[in-house]
Amino acid sequence: MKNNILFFLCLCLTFIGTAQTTGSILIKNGTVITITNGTLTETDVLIKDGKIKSIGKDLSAGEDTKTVDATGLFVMPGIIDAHSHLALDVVNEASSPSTAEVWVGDALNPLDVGLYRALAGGVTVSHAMHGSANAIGGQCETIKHRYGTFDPEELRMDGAPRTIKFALGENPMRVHGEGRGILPRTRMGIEQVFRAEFSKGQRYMEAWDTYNKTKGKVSTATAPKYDRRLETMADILKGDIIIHCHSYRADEILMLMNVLKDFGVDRITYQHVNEGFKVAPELAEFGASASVFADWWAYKFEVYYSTAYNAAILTKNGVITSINSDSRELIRHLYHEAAKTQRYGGLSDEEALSLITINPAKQLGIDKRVGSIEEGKEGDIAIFNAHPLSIYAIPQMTIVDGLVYFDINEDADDMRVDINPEETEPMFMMESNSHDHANDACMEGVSEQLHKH
Amino acid sequence: MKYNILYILLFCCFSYQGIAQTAKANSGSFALNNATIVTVTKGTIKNGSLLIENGKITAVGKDISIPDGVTTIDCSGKSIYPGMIDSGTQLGMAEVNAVSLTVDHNEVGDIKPHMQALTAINPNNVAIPVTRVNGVTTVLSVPTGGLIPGTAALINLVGYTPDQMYAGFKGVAINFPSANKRGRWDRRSEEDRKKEEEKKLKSLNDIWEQANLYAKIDSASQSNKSLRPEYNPQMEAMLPVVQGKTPVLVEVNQEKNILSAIKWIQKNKINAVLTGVAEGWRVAKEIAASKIPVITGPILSLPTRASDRYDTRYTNAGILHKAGVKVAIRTDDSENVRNLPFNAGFAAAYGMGKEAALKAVTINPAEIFGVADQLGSLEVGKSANLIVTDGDPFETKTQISHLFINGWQVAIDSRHIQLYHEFLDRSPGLRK
Amino acid sequence: MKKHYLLTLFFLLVMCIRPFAQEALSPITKTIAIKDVHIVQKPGQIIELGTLIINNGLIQAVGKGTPIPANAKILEADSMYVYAGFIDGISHAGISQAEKKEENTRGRREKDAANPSYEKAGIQPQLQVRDLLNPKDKSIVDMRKLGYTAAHVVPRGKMLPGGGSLLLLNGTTPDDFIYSDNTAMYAQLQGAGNVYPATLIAVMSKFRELYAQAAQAKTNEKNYRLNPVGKSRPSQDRVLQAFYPVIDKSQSVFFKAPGVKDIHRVFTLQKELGFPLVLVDVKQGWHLADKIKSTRTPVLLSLDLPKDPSKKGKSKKGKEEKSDEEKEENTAKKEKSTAKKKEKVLTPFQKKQQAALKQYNAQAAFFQDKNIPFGFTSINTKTANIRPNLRKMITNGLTQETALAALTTIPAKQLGVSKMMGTLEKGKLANLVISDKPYFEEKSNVRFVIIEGKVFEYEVKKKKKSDSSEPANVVGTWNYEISIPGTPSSGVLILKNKDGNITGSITNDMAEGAEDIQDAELDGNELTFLVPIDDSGAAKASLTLTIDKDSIEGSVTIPEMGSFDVEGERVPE
Repeated sequence: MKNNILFFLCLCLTFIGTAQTTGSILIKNGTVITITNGTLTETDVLIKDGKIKSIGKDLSAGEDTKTVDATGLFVMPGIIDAHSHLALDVVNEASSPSTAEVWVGDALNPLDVGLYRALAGGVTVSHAMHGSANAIGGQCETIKHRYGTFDPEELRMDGAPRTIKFALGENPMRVHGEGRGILPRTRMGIEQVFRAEFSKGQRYMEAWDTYNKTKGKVSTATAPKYDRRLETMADILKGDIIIHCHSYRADEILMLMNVLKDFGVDRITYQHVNEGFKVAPELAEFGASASVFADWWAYKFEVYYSTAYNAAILTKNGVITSINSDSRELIRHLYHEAAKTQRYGGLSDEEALSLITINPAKQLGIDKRVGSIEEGKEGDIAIFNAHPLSIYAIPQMTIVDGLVYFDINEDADDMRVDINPEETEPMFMMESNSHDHANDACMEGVSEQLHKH
Repeated sequence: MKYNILYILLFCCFSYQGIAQTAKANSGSFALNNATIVTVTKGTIKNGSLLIENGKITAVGKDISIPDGVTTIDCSGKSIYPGMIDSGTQLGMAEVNAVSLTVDHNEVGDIKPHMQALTAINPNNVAIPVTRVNGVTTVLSVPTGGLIPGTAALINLVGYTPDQMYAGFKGVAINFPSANKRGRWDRRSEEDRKKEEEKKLKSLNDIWEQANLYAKIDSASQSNKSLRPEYNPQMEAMLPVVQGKTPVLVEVNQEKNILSAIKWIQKNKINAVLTGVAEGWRVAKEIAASKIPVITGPILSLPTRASDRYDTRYTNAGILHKAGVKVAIRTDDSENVRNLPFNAGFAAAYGMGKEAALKAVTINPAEIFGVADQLGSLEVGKSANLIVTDGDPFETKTQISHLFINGWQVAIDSRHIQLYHEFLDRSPGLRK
Repeated sequence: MKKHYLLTLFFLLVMCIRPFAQEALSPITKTIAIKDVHIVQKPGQIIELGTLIINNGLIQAVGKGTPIPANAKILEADSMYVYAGFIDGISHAGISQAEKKEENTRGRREKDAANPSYEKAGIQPQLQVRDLLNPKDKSIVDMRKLGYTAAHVVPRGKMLPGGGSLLLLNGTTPDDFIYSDNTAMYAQLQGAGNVYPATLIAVMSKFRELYAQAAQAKTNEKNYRLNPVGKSRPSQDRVLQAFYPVIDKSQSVFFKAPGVKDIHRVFTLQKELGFPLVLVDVKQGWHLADKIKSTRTPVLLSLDLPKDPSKKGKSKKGKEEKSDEEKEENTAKKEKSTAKKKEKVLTPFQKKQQAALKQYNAQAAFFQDKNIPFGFTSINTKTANIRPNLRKMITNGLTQETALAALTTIPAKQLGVSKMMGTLEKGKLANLVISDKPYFEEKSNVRFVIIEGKVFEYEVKKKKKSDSSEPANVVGTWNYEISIPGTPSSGVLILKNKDGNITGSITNDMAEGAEDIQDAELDGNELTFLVPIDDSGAAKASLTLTIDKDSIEGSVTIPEMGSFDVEGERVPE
């Protein structure tokens, strides 16, 4: 009998979880860090049907609108992580130096409890990326952390621009050159992968153009063989896809900019980009942006000559910079990672918080919708008990599209949604921080793939 | 903002003397005046002075007399804290963890107590200055891998030889056997894992038995040389352990394993410290009752189980502390040991409180390692390991302006800082 | 030397079995009558004490008081229960598991990982079951024994293992089995592991690409046939050609989708490409029940259920054939006494786990209550678990009618063979299963399975297990017989019991001397032991005997030969 009740409860929860996708909420009397328009004390924020409707004093909403008293609390836009592998069942398709056609959006895992843990760190949007095993990896997916749903589709941030993962340096060299004895084994080889794939993409586009012109007019006109990899390259060339490139060393960063110039591609965010500080003027001139770690370095040779002052140097050189996690652990305290730029380079509060809000939003092409508290933007909010850049700040509540997904005072301890019916005991596994290993999180699944029968 | 620019300018003047190398450390006598002195053990002194002579703290207080010829440093608006101690790292033992030939903490074999961390400390490891400029002045470097990875060493982060750096504690590290998966990639079946656990536990008991016998024969042979046992490097290294002279560092993380480790420690009457203890919060009472101290961390880490509350690792240290356990905090890192203050800060925020968290990175580890007469607080007679800050040392934005280790004034300089100065305003810039 | 004799004995046995087994008498009549039985004509429609006449492989008549033709052989099935033979919605029956090669591929350099052959990539939709079927595969016998008379078989493999064929589970050559070919394209979201498509994301992409390329190829082919002049010869890629009927919507893609995410992903592909879809091996379907219902997607639920971890049975070697349920029961009995002492308090973790378990067990009932028709598939289910799992589903709210429909009428409909299979009606194939009690009852035994008029009879193994866990008295001398078709053999088994240690020796009339038994264990009234049968002692026959006072019965398993029944009696002292 008890089981039946539980069963029923579970069903109800499931139902509630999938029923609504936007909500309304009034946040009263908080210190509102808007990011783009200063910090407003004792201010209310009203979210109506998922959108920020108004920001001001003494706002009121209908009686049925949930109200949160934020007196003494700090209200900031939901944090955005421009580099994550959360909520993905597959990170790397490591079988080829180019896999432009694959898309991690096909492997979204809404059941990943990591999403909840990220919410508990104020993160509302993340860029779920393909790994860095291949020079041209797969397409990525920008997701909203609507935890509780079983439907992968509900995680997608509809309308967010398409993005694709590129990778330079040691990872593709190790997987393909060292691992399989094929190109690329050097940074020279990596350049040629890009040149080859972009060139093939150009020719593919041309072939289709020719076909489309002769189709119906010339009886022998035959369509080129459909090729999803080259379709994707063509879309990059057309400017429909933003490149996010895993990179570390200054030389390789410059190399890719040269390749892109030759092919007329200009939308790129360099990821990790540990030596970005060395070529900050070039990045700024190209219009490339940078998404960096706060302080990761020396875990592999290509990040040996790094500095934790990277974000500060890039910012002060006019490069749009964000701080990312690339880690199930770091994503839980990006506010703290951003604060490190105050120790290492003395960024202002606004500059530091931009690194995890409006800047990553710009890099993902979603800055018109999220990344700051502005009327008309989406209702993604993180509420802290202290200034979010303080080490003592504890996230209190996280809101996505006007719905509360994390509430420190309400939530159960065990927030898994998909329960393994055969699990006896919670399996204990130390999840070590990925920088302890030779591989970064970007290489998730690669060794398994290489070594699996 | 203005403050920041001013600060950077000051900073540049101070440390722009040499680009390629770190500035030399100064010795001598120093008086740090007008400071808020957080002694940790003897309260906080406002507007006080602290005197450093011959490497030691020779006076702390409000109205101390400053001898002539002492370098004075005005610390108005600043605070002095003891240098922080990280109770578990691989600092100095690995240059680049992905490049195996630069990694010296994981020797071949399973039972290797004779592997000495101190031997493999590279005093010129590039991460050492990076670490100390964040206020971490002393670390325990611990070998890794196998059942008995080796003998850890406590080092001060200044010096050009390991002996110069040695801070007075060595201890054998043990990975207490467990049947847990080692990671996602661990494909061993549950049964195999359990078998291996049993095998390892038996192996551990055998070692103990053997080591006790070896110690007995060894002591008998003091008066009768003919009884001298065969040379056995492992057993030699185990001697101080079975004699109870130095604590053993028992790495254990899972609830069930923690309980068995405590039983094992008590049964064998071992002088031990528990390390890791990720699931300590589940058995805090039991640990407290055993009176065994705990070194836990990293605090900034994921819960051990998917079903756990998201913050169990943040709150772990606080729960243990409140249960009455003596807690020290570690990062378990090699290149980012500089995050120790932030680990302590998270522990403080999530229930431990600032005072206890500060102790967990100062006096507690000093006591656990038996070096509290030298380290861990600002008291007369102790080594001058201390930092001068413009605020709470755990706060992320806090800046450290002065650093003393073992009485040496160490420059606030590291490769990270040097690269900052070189590249903030690169020259040549874009022009050819 | 003694062992040598035993070895000879068992070799002799091998030689004897085959000729005798094949020398069955040819039937005199093709007319069979089954009378005074409960005929479950279709789910919910029962003829009590009815008669069913089979002629020439077809059902000639069903009804009450139907006259029995004079030439009919009457099946001794009085008062038993007759059902339409079961149809396995998707099955690997008759497809042998690929032998696992002992190749050490760890770290091997797969140079062609980016461009592997279709075979390595697991993309072989053109493969036909006919070419892969092993008529002697044990799975056919096992499935038949459960009451399955037809199975919709697909090859094993990765992303696109091949096409489906509907088989009747009887025959000697692969062609004998085929009822119809080209029934399905079977697909799985499974990557090839170390070559492209290695993972799910590449599988998704490759599926879309192949689909689009096939559509192109099909158009090119058509245009070429109309007028080839000036055009390149169109592709003759068999993989693409296999997609043509799917693109035409004349064939469904049977897509394996056990988990909730799999189902979503398969729906995503279906929505984009528009192929006719059947969801296969569904285990977490309740999350998408509404979508399945509104899209009217045919669905085959998995017969596999999770094991209850709180009833973890101890796994003893040599008993792997036991179903999970039996194992669970064993522990349940042992736990009973302790359970009485204190009510088990579940931790929050266990509560969640138990609730989840309940959801899985109640999936079929959930679909039933939502009025969503579903069939069952045995794919990836241990055969021994099928009946216990059906009972578990029934305990969790599935009605017997719906269960029967899922085994008969629904798969028949999904496969478009309702006219000939799925119910007991005149003119349909004589595919039947007959059990001594209602099929879904725990103590019911399948006694006959009839496929196209061919009768398979099953003896009921008497299973007397004493309730007490007190060890039975085994000490004494026992005469035993092994029933091997054509060559029954007998011998003497002497057993001793010294403080619970069972020892003894065994003789056989076809070998000289006695052999000591090994590793004897007595669990209640169940005795197991081994007998070495070759000189090296490596090959051993294993015996499992149940002791009931002065009689024993059980089986002997001889490596590479099979299992045979053993019976015996205690020699009075």
